[in-house]
Amino acid sequence: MNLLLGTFTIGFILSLLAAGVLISFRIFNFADITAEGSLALGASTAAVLITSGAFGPAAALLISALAGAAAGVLTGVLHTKFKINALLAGILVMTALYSVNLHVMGKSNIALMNEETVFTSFNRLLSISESANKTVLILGFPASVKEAAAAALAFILASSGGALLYWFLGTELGAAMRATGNCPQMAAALGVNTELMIIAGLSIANAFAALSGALLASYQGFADVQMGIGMLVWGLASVIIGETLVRDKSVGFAITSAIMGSIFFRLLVAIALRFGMNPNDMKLMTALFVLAALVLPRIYKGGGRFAGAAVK
Amino acid sequence: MLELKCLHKTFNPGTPDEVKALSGVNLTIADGSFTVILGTNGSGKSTLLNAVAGTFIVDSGSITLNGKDITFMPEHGRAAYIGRVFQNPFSGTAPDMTIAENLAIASMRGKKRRFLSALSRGAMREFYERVKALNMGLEERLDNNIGSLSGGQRQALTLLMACWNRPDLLLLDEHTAALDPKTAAKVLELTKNYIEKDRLTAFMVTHSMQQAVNLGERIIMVYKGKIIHDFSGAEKKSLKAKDLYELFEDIKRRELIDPATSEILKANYV
Amino acid sequence: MYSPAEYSKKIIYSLSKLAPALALIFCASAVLLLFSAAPVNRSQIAKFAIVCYSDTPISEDGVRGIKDGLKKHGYEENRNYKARVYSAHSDSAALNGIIDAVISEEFDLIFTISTPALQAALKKIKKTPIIFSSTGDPVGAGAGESFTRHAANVTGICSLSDFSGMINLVGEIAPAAQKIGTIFCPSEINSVLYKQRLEKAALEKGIKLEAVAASTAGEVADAAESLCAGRGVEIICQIADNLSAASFTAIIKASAAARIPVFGFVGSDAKHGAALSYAKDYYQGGIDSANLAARILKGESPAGMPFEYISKTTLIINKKAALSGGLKIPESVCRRADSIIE
Ligand SMILES: Nc1ncnc2c1ncn2[C@@H]1O[C@H](COP(=O)(O)OP(=O)(O)OP(=O)(O)O)[C@@H](O)[C@H]1O
Ligand SMILES: [Mg+2]
Repeated sequence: MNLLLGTFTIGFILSLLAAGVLISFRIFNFADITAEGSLALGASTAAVLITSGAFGPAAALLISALAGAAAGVLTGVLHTKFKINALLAGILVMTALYSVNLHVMGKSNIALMNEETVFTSFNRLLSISESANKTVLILGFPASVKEAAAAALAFILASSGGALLYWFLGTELGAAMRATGNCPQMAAALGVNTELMIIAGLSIANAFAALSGALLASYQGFADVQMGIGMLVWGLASVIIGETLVRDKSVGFAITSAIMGSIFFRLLVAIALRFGMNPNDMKLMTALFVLAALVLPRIYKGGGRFAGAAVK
Repeated sequence: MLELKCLHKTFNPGTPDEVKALSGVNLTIADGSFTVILGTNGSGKSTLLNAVAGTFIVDSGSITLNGKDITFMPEHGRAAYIGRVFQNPFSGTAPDMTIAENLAIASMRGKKRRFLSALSRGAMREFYERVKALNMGLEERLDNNIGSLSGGQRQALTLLMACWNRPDLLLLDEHTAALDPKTAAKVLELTKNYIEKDRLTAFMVTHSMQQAVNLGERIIMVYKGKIIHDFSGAEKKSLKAKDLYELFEDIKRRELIDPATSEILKANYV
Repeated sequence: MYSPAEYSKKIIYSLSKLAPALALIFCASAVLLLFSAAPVNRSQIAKFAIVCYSDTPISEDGVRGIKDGLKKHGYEENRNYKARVYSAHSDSAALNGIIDAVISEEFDLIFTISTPALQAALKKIKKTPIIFSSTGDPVGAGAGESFTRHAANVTGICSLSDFSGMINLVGEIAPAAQKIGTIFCPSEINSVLYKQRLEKAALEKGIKLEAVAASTAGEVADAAESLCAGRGVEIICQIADNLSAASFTAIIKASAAARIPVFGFVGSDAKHGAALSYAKDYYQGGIDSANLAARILKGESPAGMPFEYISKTTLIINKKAALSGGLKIPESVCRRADSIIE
């Protein structure tokens, strides 16, 4: 059970990253690689704030998200004001963030073994002792209370993040942002400041990535400057697998599917590891999963469709 | 009132692709007037509309709308005063968003967008009523993505969106050119209705001489980035499509004489 | 706005859309759950996990050392124990998945190689003994307050280089040396630590350290050039980090052109053109952690076992490289060498 809970926890934590990738990839149609830097930036900032003891763990998460937002603003400004290709702007900021993160932490790795994180705070809230390793039965399977609490907290955070994003994209501003990505000419003609929207959108996307990084560091017990490397692919994989599973691209479903995609993807990885797959093949397997998610719907289209196509 | 003074715009200056798209346009448009713009392909009609809309900033000259200098105002700022419909039905609507969401964005043109639900109950009711007035049955499909509609339906909606909050100026760039004749007529009818009902100041580009003769109270003919004819009042009323064709033939004849020869002719005979 | 009937329609629609995803997630969870809850192979054979963070020669030497060390204590792989080697390929999320998988497999012992692997294990594994090898700074990594006071289920082998030993060698071979140099990588925690330790050890003997930073493999050559040019560096004592290990030849090239000898902290350095290498033997580190493992398997508690340093430092001398760097290695040093490349 603990294995399952751990998988769900990581899945929910990384679903915030997936939500960020959803914004850049599905609203603005490019995969913003700044997310890799922002994820590590969020982790570094949170680790430094938590170890400094000056901020509570929740405040540390919030400030980390703001740091990520700032990184997103930078990419957005490079792209819109200086007309740098979006991918390139992302690569530039990601590269710069590597050094920034080193400066933030003052070294490349900070341990958070016995520090107060959101997870330990949540345990205290539920009066779960840190030292006693109590187990409960969930569905008849023994599970560590702490792991269950961590999974519950990750679920709460991921779903509130998703709900917040859903709410925002449904507001007047959110609609204008989506229109900016979907049809820039129309948005501009209707008085939307498209440059501002891109900057704001990327900043939200990177705030999500940073939050995800801050949570990951809190959960796994350390922040490392190399944490973000390869994360964009995880995020994209979650979004794409989610879209394949949930075949409705309206906002609510898109966000839900990104979260589900993240969970499902983590489960596949966990099963593969548990079944004794050679870990050397993991990256290959990731690529194959994503490929399958991209190709299967095409093949499937020829056949029937899921029931209940257009009940509105 | 729209006042254009000595507008110049050169694309790709200093390169082999240099195009003088506007070279000294002077024009004053009275409030509530409907002006039709004619001209051959590449004469600068769209460029003129885009200059007014702020798609780019002109090289020199000034643009004044209702006494306000908007020469350097960014496109999204001007959009508060200007409604636009494009030639391409895909340019005026966001295909992956629903009809209601598109309308919601249009309904906020010129207003401050807020952190409030775009599809509030009151807004939805208004969307329903005004889409119903189009008489196209679209009011039952407000939750459908606009991408699933036909070009004509999209163009009608774009028109509705452009006129949602009464614009001080309506720019129509061959907005019926991509439609089949029947749909084009329908969209044109709608256009006329909106302009008459709200007494809009409108600026319409067309290639149809018949449309030019039937619609509006003023015809402007553009050639090589300049206004070469301007008919209004009684003169416009008496104009026939045939007369306009002749003017076009005239332009074509002029084009046959290459610029160098015309320079020599000018030097010797003028 | 919607009637109850429309609401229920909407809900049914949502469920029908989400059903396939939910079903798949449910199935995957069930598979994982049933499989991880299935009675683990309860044979009498012991099971060890070896968790590596990245794929480097250091990890490979460590794994080999652990297995050979276990053999010395009578543990033969697949005869009386089973080992599984995991590598996260430098991927944080994967590392967590590995630790979860390790937990559910109920191993008897867990070896970790490199710092992040130790940290991820520390956070989640509180009972099963963890033995780390090749962690440069276990205290900084959070394994305990000191080498003797540490987490109850953790012990291991610290791979910190022998800096004062190296400085002593410098003193014996080049008594007049005033300034040594190194390239370090600010993004590797161990690299920064090693640089500081080397600096401290050098200062104790009145020698100054010039350190130049490089963050990517491409920058190493430039950093080496800059180290060799006009800084008055007499010997380059290259600390052991992943970056310089990967681009060591670039350092050798620059130093050979400037005729500055290189002393290395990695075993293969002498073979690759350093005048000498004075290196912690990561293979030996594996054997040392196997020794700790044997004690734990006999019933000793890791809580009472202090962290140790890798027990063997290997001195290899490359006479040709030393000569071209203008150094003559004294006979006393040669006699102590484990091997000499002529
Ligand atoms: N963004 C641009 N960059 C470079 N050249 C341009 C640009 N926009 C327009 N032009 C050029 O300016 C000239 C005028 O173009 P414009 O689109 O205004 O013509 P038009 O009168 O609208 O023609 P049509 O009837 O074909 O629509 C053309 O030669 C065109 O190639
Ligand atoms: Mg045109």
